[in-house]
Amino acid sequence: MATPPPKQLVLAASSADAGVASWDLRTGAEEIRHRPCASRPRALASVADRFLAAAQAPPSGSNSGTVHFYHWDKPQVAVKSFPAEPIRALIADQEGSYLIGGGSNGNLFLWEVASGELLHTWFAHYRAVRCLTLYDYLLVSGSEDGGIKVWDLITVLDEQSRLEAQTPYLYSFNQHALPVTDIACFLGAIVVSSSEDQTCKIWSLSEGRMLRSISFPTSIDSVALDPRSHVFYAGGRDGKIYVTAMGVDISSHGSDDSSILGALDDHSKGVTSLASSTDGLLLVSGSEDGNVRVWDTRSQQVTRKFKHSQGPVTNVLIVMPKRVNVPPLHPLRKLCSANGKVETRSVILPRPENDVPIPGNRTSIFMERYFDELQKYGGSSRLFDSGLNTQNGTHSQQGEWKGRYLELQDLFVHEVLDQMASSRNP
Amino acid sequence: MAFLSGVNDPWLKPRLLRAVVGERLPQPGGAVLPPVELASLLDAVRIHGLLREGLPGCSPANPKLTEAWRAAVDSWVERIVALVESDSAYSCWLGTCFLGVTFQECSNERFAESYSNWYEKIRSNLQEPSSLHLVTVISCTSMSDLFVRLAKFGNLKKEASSFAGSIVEPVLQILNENGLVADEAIDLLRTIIKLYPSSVNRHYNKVESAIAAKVMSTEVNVKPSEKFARTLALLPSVRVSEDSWSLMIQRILIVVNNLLNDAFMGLEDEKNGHDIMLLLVPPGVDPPPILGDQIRFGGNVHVTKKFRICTVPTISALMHCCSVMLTSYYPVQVNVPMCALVALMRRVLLVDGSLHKKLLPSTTSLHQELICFELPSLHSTFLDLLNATIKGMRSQLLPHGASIIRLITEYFKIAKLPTLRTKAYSILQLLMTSMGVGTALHLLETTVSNAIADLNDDCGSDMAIINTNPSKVTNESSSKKFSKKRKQELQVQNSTVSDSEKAGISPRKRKGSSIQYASKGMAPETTGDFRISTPLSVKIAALETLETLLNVGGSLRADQWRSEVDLLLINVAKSACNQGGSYGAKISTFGEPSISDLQLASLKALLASFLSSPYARPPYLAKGIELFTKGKVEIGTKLADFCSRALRALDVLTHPRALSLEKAVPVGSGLNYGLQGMTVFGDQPQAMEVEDMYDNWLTSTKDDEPAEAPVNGNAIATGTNTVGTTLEHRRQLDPVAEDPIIDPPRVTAAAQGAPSSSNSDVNMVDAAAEEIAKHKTVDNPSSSNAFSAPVYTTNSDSQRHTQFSHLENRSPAVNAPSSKLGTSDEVSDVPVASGIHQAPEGRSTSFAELFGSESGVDSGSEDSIPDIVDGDPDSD
Repeated sequence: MATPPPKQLVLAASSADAGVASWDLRTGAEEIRHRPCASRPRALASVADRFLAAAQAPPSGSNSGTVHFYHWDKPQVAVKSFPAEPIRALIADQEGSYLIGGGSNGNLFLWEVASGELLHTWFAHYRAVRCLTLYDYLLVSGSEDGGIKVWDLITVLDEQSRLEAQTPYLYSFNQHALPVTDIACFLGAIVVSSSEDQTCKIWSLSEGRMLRSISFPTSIDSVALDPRSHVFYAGGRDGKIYVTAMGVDISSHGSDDSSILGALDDHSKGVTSLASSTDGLLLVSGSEDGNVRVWDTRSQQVTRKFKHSQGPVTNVLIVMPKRVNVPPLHPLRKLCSANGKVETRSVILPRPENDVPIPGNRTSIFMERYFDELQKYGGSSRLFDSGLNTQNGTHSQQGEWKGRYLELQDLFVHEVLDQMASSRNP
Repeated sequence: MAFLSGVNDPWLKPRLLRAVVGERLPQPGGAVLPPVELASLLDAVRIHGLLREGLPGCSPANPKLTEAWRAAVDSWVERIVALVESDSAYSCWLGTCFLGVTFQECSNERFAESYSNWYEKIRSNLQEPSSLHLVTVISCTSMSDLFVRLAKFGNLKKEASSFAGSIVEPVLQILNENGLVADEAIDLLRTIIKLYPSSVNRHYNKVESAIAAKVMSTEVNVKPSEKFARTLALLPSVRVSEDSWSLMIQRILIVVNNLLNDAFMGLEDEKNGHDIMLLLVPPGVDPPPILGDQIRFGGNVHVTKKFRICTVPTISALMHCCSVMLTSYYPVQVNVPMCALVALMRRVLLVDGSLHKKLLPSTTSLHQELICFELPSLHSTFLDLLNATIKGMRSQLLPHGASIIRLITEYFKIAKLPTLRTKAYSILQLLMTSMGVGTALHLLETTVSNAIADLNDDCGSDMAIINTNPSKVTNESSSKKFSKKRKQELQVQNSTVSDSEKAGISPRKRKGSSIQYASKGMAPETTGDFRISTPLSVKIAALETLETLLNVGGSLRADQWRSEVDLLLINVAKSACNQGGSYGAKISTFGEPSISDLQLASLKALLASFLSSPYARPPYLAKGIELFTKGKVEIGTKLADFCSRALRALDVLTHPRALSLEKAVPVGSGLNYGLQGMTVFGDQPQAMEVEDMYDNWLTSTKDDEPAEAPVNGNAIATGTNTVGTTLEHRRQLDPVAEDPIIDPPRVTAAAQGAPSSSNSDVNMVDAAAEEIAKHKTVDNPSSSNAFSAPVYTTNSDSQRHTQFSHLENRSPAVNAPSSKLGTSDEVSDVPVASGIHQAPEGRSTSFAELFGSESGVDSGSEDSIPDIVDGDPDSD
């Protein structure tokens, strides 16, 4: 009750250099704007809400990209990294231990955040990687060539496992005909992908197959799942956000698009990015018209509208910044370390919940146990009569008694046993 | 004196306290009280809250009452202090005891007022060299109570810290001189380090060497040495910096590694120790000072005893220290030498006591015997360390995940003792829950084969319970495979064969487990009773591991293991619940898990198997519900508690109520989107939604299916001409689906195409089957299709998928119209698919037989196809 709920921010980035803007989700007030930043879609990632990472679109004509890190409370770039190729898609794992980037040449990069080491890089797709998502430690990558591949990071990171595996990837799906634009995954190893081929497809990672394909009247550029996972939202290039059922509603037969339950329609241009709040009540959308809208999913009304810039909004995120002492950030390495053997730097972050409490109230516990013990021998008087000469008892009976009073052993039993032994067998 | 108004009258307290001090508390140097009397004194003070000097909830305090009460407590404190200062050891001891009680019980004001006075009293106790052990012990305990209470006063932090600093020296002295009170002294030290770390800074080196000496000494028993280890683990927080923590763990690992060098001589590659040393201290770096370097390790203990009473306990304590360090809170981010840690664990866990190839002259059989004697406790220690590592490192474990998985997989071959096996299982669980579905993929094989081996032994006779009951099998089985099995069983039933032989036939053959079944089939029935069965603790661990596996990756490559595991779990649960009834089984020794623990574990695993079933209806659902219903009756036990929850959770499977989705009214026309649906969903627990979600997909496949059937025909007619190719195709698409045998639906699809009959025939038969199925279900709306729906689904599902992927691959454009066809076409089918649960038995059998006769060839061919283990190389 005493602590106010943590502040939730809506972040938005554009492909034009307009920085990362942030607004308080509750009050709507604009907060800090991190500059510079020009990111293509799916290139903005919050690293376990500790800091922000954004892969930058390469300036026209150049073929080198950068990755920027920003601290929550400072507008300027904290650390700049220069990966081997421009990064199109960037995500972090849930605990913020790793950053995974998909390159414009189809390579994937896996960095350790604590050290900046490039743990592994591998060739994944023939064309640029457009979007990434993680389910546990299964990495799902979608590419411009229409392919979706699922990687088991445990295998990917281990040389021996890589050699033993028949294919470098776990699954490869080729059902999308045109570039895959976004992927989201949810409970039960379910993945939803969207594509320029005007479909969204639902996949099961545990069965390794497609479950459904849903056609839309337009290309879909982004998907977001409702956390209760019965519907997902698909942002169309026609400016509509389609509310789509994950399963098929049995009672609604006869119509062609029975999966599409409705549409949120307010953007004038294509919806490029979506983010759903953890309670499922709010949906944030970013559009090519330069605006960010917050929707109430129950009333389907726009509750807030933020103007980002003239340029198209490419990324929106909902984050709850953790104002913790972030250890110094290291730039992401360009190459794996020379000898091929990466010296990983495992760290333990401070986690106050792991703190072990110190038990108080021990005197009375001690006394209770002591009384119990003494009563078995008919009173404490003997203990103190002979007790002054310390510990001269025979140890012969100790073993036998130990067996009987195992549960007392840890506190007091040695003491008492020695004393009693000496008083009984003088 | 006036009468009280009752037990709650506040005037009771001062009166009682006065009575206690006046009549029951002895005078200094007085007589020794019997323990019963003391215990009742303690109870009186604590139960009535005599020292609180105030009552919660009656704030407008009566000044007279307050005064009386304060006077009473004053006299109590006076007497206690007098007792502490007394020359009589007994009085001193008693006074210190009650002073400790006073620390916990007295009011804040009084504590703040007199704590420094009390502190001095106890400190003089501690510093007095000749005092009785008992007095020292209780002084340590009450001193630590004083500090715990003092820590709650934020404004007294400075004084408290200086008090703590000045008590460290005397405590260390006690620790060094007197082995008997070390236990309480270390507790006090730990409290001080924990609460006032900075006050220990000055004595850091002394504290460290004192604890290190205790940990490595020979005389301390195992339990207290764990306390020392925990205190050692706290030490880095005295000097908070990134390095102090890493330095400590590095030094510990070096000591342990060196100890192991001596111990494992001749039993391992001698390079191991050196390699780990290189990881710990990279070449060119100065090694840190050795932990406890001034201790003469082992002293003059004879070499045969040294290993048992020095080396192993020391390693255990130090590793325990590492475990605590890895899992407890430290205020800054610290580096963990993971590579060395993993290497060290690997080094120990893979020593199985056998001699290394290169035999050293110093290796004797006595040495080997000594090590083998201690190896289980070493392994146990290092499994605990592994456990702590996984817990502490969390996601940071990922780069080492594969090597840890390999390690634990290899270790399962060595682990035969029950305690070690149980611990190894718990590590499997931890790995799967911490790293998720990817790990389950790697650990699937190990978990399933080991759990089956451990669980199988006592249900040899039970194995056939379900199989011998043909009606049940057809009733509950959801795939065609079982109807085939039933045929086999019908054949064998006529001839008199033992149950165990039937068990040999029934489940799907798999490497590893097939040996089990085979041997059971050979053995005469009677020998089964005399076999030593796996201990309950191991079985419970195996069940819990299977439960975790099912929860994490229940539908992962389901066709390879699920049916076997599901059958096993229902059988284990049945036999466990049956055993519970007989008196003999209920006897269990203290501390061992009892049969009811096994029942609980087996039912938990069973529930997980139901809820994660990749099939529409779990095959043994009816039997399982019976077990849960029975268990629910055992009122007041954990079992009953769990069973009623399980039945609640299974509700979704038994009554799929097809929750309507949140409806979006055509855009712009209204706001009632989802209001209804929202409330419905809001009331459901999360798990149910998932199940519903699943059901929805299932119905979706059904919806699509009938319309796709004609499309299917077209595709086959126009495209490739055999379904066999389609199967091939599909396998290329799906690199994981490796083994055609293991996937009955797919084989079915292939078998339908493979016979010489034309494709149109197949489709006709197919259509006919569907027709029958539809009729059956339609003309029986009151009963439900628990059986027929699954069969319908699995079959159509695979079929649909076969051509689906086929289609997808050719031209995605075809896809859209086909699915449109599907949704618009079959309206009548929908209620059939969703609303009906149970088909009459006779009809379902006929349905199954219809399939069986149509593809009679493949029941034989399925068994004859050899296991193909490799996946097709990707031909792309």
